[in-house]
Formats: sequence, C-alpha cells, structure tokens
Amino acid sequence: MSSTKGNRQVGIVIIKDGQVIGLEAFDHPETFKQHKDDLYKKYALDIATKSEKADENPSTALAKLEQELEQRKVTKEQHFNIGGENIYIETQSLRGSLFRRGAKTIVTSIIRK
Amino acid sequence: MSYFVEWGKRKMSEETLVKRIGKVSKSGAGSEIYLKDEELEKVGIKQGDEVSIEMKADGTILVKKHSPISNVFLDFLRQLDYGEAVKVGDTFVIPIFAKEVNERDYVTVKEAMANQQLQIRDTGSIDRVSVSNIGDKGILITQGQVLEGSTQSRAVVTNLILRANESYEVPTRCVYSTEPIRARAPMQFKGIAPRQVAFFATAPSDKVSQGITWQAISAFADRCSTAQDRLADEGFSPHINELRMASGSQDLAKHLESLSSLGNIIDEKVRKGVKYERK
Repeated sequence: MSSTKGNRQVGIVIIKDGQVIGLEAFDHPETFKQHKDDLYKKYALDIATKSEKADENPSTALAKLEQELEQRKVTKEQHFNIGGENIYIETQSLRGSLFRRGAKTIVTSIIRK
Repeated sequence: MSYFVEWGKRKMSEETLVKRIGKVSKSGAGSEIYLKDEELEKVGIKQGDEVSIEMKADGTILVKKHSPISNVFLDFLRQLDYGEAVKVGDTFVIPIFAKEVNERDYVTVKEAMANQQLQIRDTGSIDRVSVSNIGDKGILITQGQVLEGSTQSRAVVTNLILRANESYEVPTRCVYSTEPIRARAPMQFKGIAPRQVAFFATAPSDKVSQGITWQAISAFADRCSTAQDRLADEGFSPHINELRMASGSQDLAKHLESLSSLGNIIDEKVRKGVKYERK
C-alpha cells in the first residue's frame, strides 16, 4: 500500500473472480485500523483459495459494482436506528449497509453472496 | 425530509395502507412502493418516489421521502479515493483513502473493551443481546460483530452507535446452534463474521431466517475443511491447518479464532504486495 497515503486509509475493496466480493469503508482511519485485522479474517477464506476465473482489470470490477447497484431489485430501510440511520440495499447477489449520521457516512459494507 | 400524512385515526393494515396510497410491486422477498396519490403530491411526494412508511400507534401514518437508496450508495462509492490494487493469491485488494479526516466522537468496540467501557449480557432471547455503555463516548458497533460467552454465540444484525451511559437490546442472530442459551451470561466481542456467514447473519429479519444462518455456518465449515485442496498460494498452507481443525465446530466464534493466523499472513502479504500493473 502507498506509504504516503497509508495513514489516511479508511477501507478496502476485495476483488475475486472479476467481481467485487466485498467493500468495507469507515469515516476515520483509526476506525479502519481498529477493524482491519477482523476484515482480513472476514475475507481470509476467499483470499486463501483459488480463483475460478482468469485475471481481469480490477477497475472493471468496480465499474461493474456500480452497474449492479444501479439495477438493484430490492431496497430496504432499516428501522433499528440507534445513534444514526441504517440504510440497506440488496440485489440478487449483493447486500449492502450504510450507517450515517446526517450527511456523514460512518460505516459502509457491501458483500457478495 | 419527512412528511406526516393524516389518513384518519382508524388503524389500517399495511395491505390496506398500500392500496390506499399506491400500488406495490412485489419483487423477491421485498417490495417497492410507488406513490400516485394526489394528496401525497401536494406535499411534494411524486409518483415514482421511494418512501418509507410507518404506522404510529394513534393511526397517524408517517411517510418518509428519501433519495433513491441506490443513489445513496452510488454517491458514496463515487466520492471514494481508491488506491492501487495489490494482488494476494488470486485476489485483488484495493485500499480506500479518506479525502479529509475529521475528529471522531465515538470509539470502536475494541477500544471500548480495552477501556472497560462496554458491558454485554445475554437477554435470554435468541434475537437480542443487551449492551451497556458505561463510558463517556459513544461506541460504534458494526453489523456482523460476533459475541461470545458461556451462552449461545451471536452476530449483531445492524450498525449502531451506543451513546454514553445508555443501554440497548441489540438485534442478533445465533451463530452457535448447539449451545444452550443462558440469560444474563456476560459476553464479549470476538471479531467479525466471515463474508459467507455475514451475508445471511446480517440480513434484515424479514429476509433471512435463523435456520439459514446456521446453514451458512455449516457451509462455511465445509469450505474450511477442503480449503487446503484449493489454495491460491502455497504460502497459505501452514495457516490452513487451524481452519481444518475448527471445521467440525458449529460455533462461529471458534472459527474466528482459527482464522487469526491466516488473517495475519494476508495482512503481511497486502503490505508487502506488488501493485497491479495492467497487462
């Protein structure tokens, strides 16, 4: 990772088989730092095992993710809102959550089935 | 922006409500509601707008208009500052950087536990765990966090910030099917559920049953038991054995322990990794 930006890192994107299988982001570098080990464990089995598809430009996977979210089939707003607002999105193969206070997003997670 | 629309004081079922204010198109397990009622248009809600609807105890209906949810996510993704991809095994890891960093007014679960600011007890109900903040800063609890104790392990279903000196019963799913539940048993956070389990364990309750979460844990355990045969990099081999040993357990907290060594080596490989160059 870039050392000049490393202290501003707030998240990670995990790409396998030509698609985003996880995106995890926080509002603050210290929050990410506190979660980093657990996030690598969250995707450890994915990262440790073989891909089923050949390499693809990772930028393409990010663009595909946006297309999938645009074509979402089901959305849901969560009513358990303590200390902020939870918003959910769901497609056939993705589930995302975004927790925010006012305009500030505190944590976002998008995971593939 | 929120709108309160009075439809009278009598209580209505959700079905009646939907008929009254518009049409509902079922899609999969959920639904999308498109408004067409003139009365709602008067207060700025137009046909095609997405809204959330809540019925109050007095019969008042709260209709809340918001940006299309997909736009909330897309706007967020489009303002992120992505770094260069690093390849680890067959997987790309891309860092995300903050464009600006402001002060935090909360602490994480790990920080709260280190400061003995957070108390967690089983409620005795499979779908609730009691959390108490005895400190002076809010605590960010993220969905998928796994709780362990001398009771059924649980995963937290939703994100929240537990304010200072407040307690809540947070929604959970059981991630240890064979352990009996013990009310008031102290619990502690153990980590974050693996992707394969988190997809189900953190789904809104009307989408996924408890049984599906248990099935996901079994499927995850099966994948752990055969991971050695599908390694993307021989460097992972010494760290897979623990996974295989834990694969017989139905307790997700045990699986998280077995993932520690693998998680550490992945972190090291990401830090030392070669940046992706497009061929």
